[in-house]
Amino acid sequence: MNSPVLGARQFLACTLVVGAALVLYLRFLPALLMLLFYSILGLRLFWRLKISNKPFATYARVIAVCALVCTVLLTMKTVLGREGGTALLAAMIVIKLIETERTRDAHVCFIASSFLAMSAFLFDQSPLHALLTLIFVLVLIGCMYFVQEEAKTAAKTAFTPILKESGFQLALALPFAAVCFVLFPRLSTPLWGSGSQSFAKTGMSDYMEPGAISSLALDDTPVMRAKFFDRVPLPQQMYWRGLIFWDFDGKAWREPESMPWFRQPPEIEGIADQIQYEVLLDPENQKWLYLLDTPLVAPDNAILTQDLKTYYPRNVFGVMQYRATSALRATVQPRLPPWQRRMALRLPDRGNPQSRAFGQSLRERSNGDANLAIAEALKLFNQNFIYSFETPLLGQDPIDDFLFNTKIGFCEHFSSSFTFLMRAAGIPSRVVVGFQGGYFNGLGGYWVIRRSDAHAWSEVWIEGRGWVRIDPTAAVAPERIMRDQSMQRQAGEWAQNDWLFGARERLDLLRYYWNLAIVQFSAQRQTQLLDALGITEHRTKYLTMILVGCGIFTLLAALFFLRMKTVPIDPVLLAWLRLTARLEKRGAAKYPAEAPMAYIDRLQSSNPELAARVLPLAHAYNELRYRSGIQYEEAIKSFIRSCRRFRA
Amino acid sequence: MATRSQNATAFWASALKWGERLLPGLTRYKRRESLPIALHRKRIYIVPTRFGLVFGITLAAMLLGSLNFNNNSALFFTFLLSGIVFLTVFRTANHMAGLSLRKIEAGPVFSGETAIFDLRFESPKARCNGLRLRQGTQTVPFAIVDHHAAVALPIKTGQRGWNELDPIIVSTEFPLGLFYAWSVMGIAEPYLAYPKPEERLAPLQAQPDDHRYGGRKERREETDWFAFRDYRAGDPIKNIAWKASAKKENWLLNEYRQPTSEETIFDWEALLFLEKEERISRLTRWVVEAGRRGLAWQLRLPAINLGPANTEQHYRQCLKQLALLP
Repeated sequence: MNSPVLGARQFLACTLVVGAALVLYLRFLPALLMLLFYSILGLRLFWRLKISNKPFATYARVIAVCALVCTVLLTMKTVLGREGGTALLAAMIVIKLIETERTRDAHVCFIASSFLAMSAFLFDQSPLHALLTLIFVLVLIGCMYFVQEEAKTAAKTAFTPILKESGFQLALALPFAAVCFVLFPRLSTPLWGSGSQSFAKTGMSDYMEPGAISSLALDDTPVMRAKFFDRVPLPQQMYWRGLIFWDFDGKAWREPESMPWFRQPPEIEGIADQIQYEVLLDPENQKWLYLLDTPLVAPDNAILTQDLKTYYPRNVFGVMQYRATSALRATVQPRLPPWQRRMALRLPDRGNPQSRAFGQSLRERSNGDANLAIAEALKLFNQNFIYSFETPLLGQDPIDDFLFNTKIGFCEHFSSSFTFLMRAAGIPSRVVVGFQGGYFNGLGGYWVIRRSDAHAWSEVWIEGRGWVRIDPTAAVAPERIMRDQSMQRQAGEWAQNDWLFGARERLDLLRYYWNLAIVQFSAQRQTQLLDALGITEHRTKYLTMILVGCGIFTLLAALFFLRMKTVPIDPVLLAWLRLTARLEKRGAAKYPAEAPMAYIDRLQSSNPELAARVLPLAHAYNELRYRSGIQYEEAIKSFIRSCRRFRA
Repeated sequence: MATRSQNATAFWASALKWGERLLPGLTRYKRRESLPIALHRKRIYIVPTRFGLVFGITLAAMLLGSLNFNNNSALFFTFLLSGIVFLTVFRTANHMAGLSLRKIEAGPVFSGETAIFDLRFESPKARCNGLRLRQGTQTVPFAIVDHHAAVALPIKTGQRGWNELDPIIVSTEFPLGLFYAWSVMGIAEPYLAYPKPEERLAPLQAQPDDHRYGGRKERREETDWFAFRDYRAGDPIKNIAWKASAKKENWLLNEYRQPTSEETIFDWEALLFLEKEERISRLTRWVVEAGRRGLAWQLRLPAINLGPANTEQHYRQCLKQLALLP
């Protein structure tokens, strides 16, 4: 059986849903593709509204389909993976809309658009995107309602009731969604795939090549938010340790090859000034966490390696929350094993001869005193170098080129060349990358660390002091490290308005809580929640709780919806009963089951005068009940009126 | 083989019968009730539509995907849509609750024709869209406006005499088209179908040989148009003046009439050369014709003589007696 043909307004509603689903992709799919989607949508709508209610001719459809599929293939190169897959799905929905003619097609569009809207969360889970999706849900429900209602009744439906209806449905479904969200069992391991392809966001790279262009520096995206429990370190003490680079090939710094015996924490002595904190890390496709220098206790499931990298065995997918403990003062590895010492002194066989020679001379001048050599090198940086992100490209020997030629650079250049000099001078050293500093959000009481806070520094090993952090950048541009860390001061002159900063802070707070409550909610967290509720035997009680929760909710919903409105008492009967009740006070009671005429007959003998007056009303009552073909509404009204006016 | 397939058929037939008895409210085994018939939640049944089913499957796929990618926002989105779908079950079922069928009216109904029955509904809800009535193959959409609805349902009438209406199914897919809720209304009140009038009009001549003939020597054509009048429920559809109706708000009917005072006698005994049903059919046609032309007539049936008269009441009485002939 064919479903009914869509009307013009219904078709518009269908297009609206597809358009709204595509809005969610504006930021993620190529502009050319989006433009094509929307122009086909517009063309189709114009065709339907102004030209014909038949779909395009077959050849036009074939051309449109070919154009869409070719554009998807050309712009995306693939139809697999996140971008390619969603682009293909979007194209298929647009194709479906081209041939949409009946209610059934509209239903297909609705279902596919819902799926498309869900997939958009693979690109972005920010609260702003969630808000956009919420609007999509409103549009979807409104249009589904509209299409079904217009199809079943000929009358045109107004806009306001539809909006009210969809808003109402959304409001009722939210608590249901919340209950399910909290109680629904999660997968601790993905069923297929790595589970992480959803966040192929480019975060910090796992190598460092000074002279290559850095895009992180100007990116204001928050990476993590940290809350300190009792003691807050000074901003210049906030070094968030990420990766530790040992291997240098003349151009780039890399991590050492992963070795199993490397994966155990180093010896740490003289621990002082312990700091406890909680971090909410935004998704980056990576296998490490950022901990405050010097990390002491790794979060659950994570491992501290020999060089104090916090290794996380699975890829961090989704927002992740963790607690950790660090010390501001500690002696790390007071005794350096010889094999590590060799690693920390290794230089490439060739290249950068000038720097090598300068390192050698440092060694000779300092006479084996490491502190002296370090001071000398830092003095060099302090006197002759400029801190800037606009760096010239470096030549074949990047360290030489930087140290003796360009002398302009930022943290990567400084830490890289400093470490090189130290190694050349015979001092074991390594490069550490991570984040430095952060902005304090006064509203939420937490620190925001952004991509632009990415930083690189050096560590040297000194006899008796262990690994010591040396930040050559601080020698060049102390303001980079010492800057005032409140968001408001930092933003400069362009926006003096307080409210703007308030809004900015509030927005970040919203993002923080959103991530905390929704995005990072995991199986582990769910278990914690149940633990907090005193449920430790997961499997069984867990399910019981879900069932009980949903059961109670179902019951409440059912009771709420199905509280039966009683059929209103027939107004005619009501008027008649009220009249007889008044007559009862006059001593002329009607028996409960007495018919009007029988009542009049009985009244005739006791009170003929009253009976005569009531008679016309009894007649009218009978007529309303048993005679067909009278002016129903009018007669009812006049009957009720005369009953009310009757004075006994 | 044959016996096995027969067995299978018998088994399915008995299973169906058992199922129908188990759920009489769903099926033709629904006991007939007298008006008014009010719908309450115990007699409203609900199943997902095809759209609802596919949507549900898609939601399950979305659930699996978002769980696999551990994407909580997507999971929340899926639950939100699921919540809306879930609540729609109640919304759909509740949409019909309280709806009651108060009255059914129809004008004169002739056997075998499609007559329009006027159904009056009441609801505690002031407005209620997207309702449908189904009877046999006929589907009529309707809406409650200001607590009331009047639905004109075309029904194919049965044999002459007292007939029972086939169960009427009230259904809705409100509000999102995801679920189909329905309830069966079996109406106890029978209706009277007058016999089917003969198609060809035989001359209004009972007996050509004696004084008992009525009718006229020369019959006017049927196109002896008299006037338009408003359509009344039960009027034959073929008499509707379509062109004239198009210009008006309500339907108009062509009325043919030939006013005369001549008395006509329609005699059962005079038509003994015809089969019984044919005889009834011809007499009916004559009565209808006479009524239309405004003649006064007398109807002589085996047990009863009616008339002569030319009143509406007489007309109805004649048709009723003809309908109820054994």
